Amino acid sequence: MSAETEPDDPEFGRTFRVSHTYRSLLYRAGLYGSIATLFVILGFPIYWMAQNAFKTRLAIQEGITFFPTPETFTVNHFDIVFNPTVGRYLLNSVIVTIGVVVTVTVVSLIAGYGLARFNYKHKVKTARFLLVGYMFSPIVLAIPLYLIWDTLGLLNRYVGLILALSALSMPFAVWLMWKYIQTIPASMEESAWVAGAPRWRGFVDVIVPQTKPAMIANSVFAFAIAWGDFTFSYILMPSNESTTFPPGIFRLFHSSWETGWAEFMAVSLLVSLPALLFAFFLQSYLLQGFKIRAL
Amino acid sequence: MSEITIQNLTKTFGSLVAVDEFSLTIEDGEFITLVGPSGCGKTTTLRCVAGLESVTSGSIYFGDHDVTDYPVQQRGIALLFQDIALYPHMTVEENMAYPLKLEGMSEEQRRERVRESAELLHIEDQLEKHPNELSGGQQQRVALGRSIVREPTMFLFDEPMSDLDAKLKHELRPLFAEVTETVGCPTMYVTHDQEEAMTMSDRIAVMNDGELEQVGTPDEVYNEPETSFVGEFIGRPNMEFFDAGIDRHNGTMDLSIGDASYRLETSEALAQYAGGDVRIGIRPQDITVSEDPADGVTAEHVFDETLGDQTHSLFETPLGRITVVTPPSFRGGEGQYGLQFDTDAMKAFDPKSGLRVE
Repeated sequence: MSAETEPDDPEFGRTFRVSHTYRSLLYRAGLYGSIATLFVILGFPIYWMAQNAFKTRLAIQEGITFFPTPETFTVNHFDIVFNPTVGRYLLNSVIVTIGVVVTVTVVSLIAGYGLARFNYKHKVKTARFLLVGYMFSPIVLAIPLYLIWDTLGLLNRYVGLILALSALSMPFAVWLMWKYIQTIPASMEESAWVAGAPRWRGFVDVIVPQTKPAMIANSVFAFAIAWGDFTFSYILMPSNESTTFPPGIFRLFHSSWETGWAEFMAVSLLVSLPALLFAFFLQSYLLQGFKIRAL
Repeated sequence: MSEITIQNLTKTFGSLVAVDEFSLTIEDGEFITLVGPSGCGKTTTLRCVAGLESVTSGSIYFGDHDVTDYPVQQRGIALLFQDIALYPHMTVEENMAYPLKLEGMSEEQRRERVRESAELLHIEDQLEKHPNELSGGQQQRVALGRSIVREPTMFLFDEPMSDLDAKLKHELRPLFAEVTETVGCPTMYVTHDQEEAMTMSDRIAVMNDGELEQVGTPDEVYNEPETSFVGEFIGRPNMEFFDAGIDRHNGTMDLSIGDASYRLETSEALAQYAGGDVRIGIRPQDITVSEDPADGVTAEHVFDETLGDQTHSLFETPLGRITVVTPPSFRGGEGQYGLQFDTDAMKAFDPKSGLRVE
């Protein structure tokens, strides 16, 4: 449009232009297209898992169907939760996850405060070095850890896996908390000191309550790492008694003729739910936590 | 409560000297404003007095107590920050009660004290709200309230109004004055705004480059600046400065600025500069404009800033550009004029040190 209305100035407006109407149309197509693509890619496995969880074993074996019919519908597979082995796996997962979330939240808060409020030599370099851990895949880290944990007697112990998984989430959590605390004006703490608060009291009364979004973001991140971890648990918790759910279900799948697809789907669905709910209810905080320009 | 004495306070950051040998006594109940351009060390001085910065050398006394090495928590001061620094997660009441809570006061007493302060500041109906629901002026009131719930030994203000609009400043100035008078302790108010300093203070301390230039009442620093810096910094529009030659002549002093010459009364101090140079400062209020270009310094009018009650007119002269305060109806129309300086209002300064010559 504008290209034709400006014949006097041939240099100006000669570039490729799409009119406003088409542009917004394209924008929408792109937007909805990407939403749809993401939704299919992310949603399909969950849908497939869910629909199979409610079908009888026979119906699954007979061929591909997209919904359980009234004849093939069943909720009996969920009984697998009451299977003592599966129950044990779930319990282990819960204990380890709680341990990791608590450790990461507390340690990142203290470390982040230290980085944000104290200056020492090579501070930024040390903090950057923390991130080096993310260059290696979990398996590369897990094998040496196995040897170290073996020497220390930490294999098959909750505290061992909690430490390993916390270490995995910690660099991100510490960086987030560091940058978040930097956004809280120093004068707020100073005004607490002026009022007579010792440093720790200022930290607890003034800083900690304000870091809620970052704490939640960190705990969601730590939860996702711990709840979904397969590699570390598989290697550091070798005994059947102490392993967590993801390697546990893998074991079950290999060792049992009795347990079928339907049960796996049912129990997997149950295990996915906490993560979904956790993220869903905390998403507004989560976004606030990530909304730091510096990061 | 008693006076605050600062003796030879020096603060360095590495090789940078932020405050150099600063000495000042603030009497009990006195309102002193520390004024100076950005980076002159006034905020650093305040933070040293507050205990938020450690002192490199020198000492600070509250009454007879040497508090130089006391941590901020033990000084019992009240401090109002530039960014207000209210706790966003607490209500107004909780914000104001926080210092009392730290003292371990019972909840009932806390409520009472908060209510008293809130009434003084007219915010008693805001107590349930959170700081982000309040306007800028109300937030300042709450911050002020939080500082006065406890009886402070000293009141410090760190440019509390620099982020506020002009109207709000006018509204808060008398409030600050009223509240500090009620509290009755020594007050140190830091600002870069000379107008704030002039209107609020008992005495003004002008700082430049880490050093104290002059301490005096607003009248003194305006009318009798001890250095050319003070003359330029205090008063708007800025004082105009000229290099002048000076000669003794039959019992009077002859001053030559450009082509024009002026006759001054002899003073002993001025006589020492005879035959040499001196720097002359004159306020734009003390320059008059004549229609005759031959009358005084020849000047070509550049433009007028109309303020309603007066006009600031800028002239191009052989001495450089000069601002003159002219009557409200004055319109220069880019014509030729003559500028006359009021010799009584001239202030002579040493051309090197900038110190006043009297």
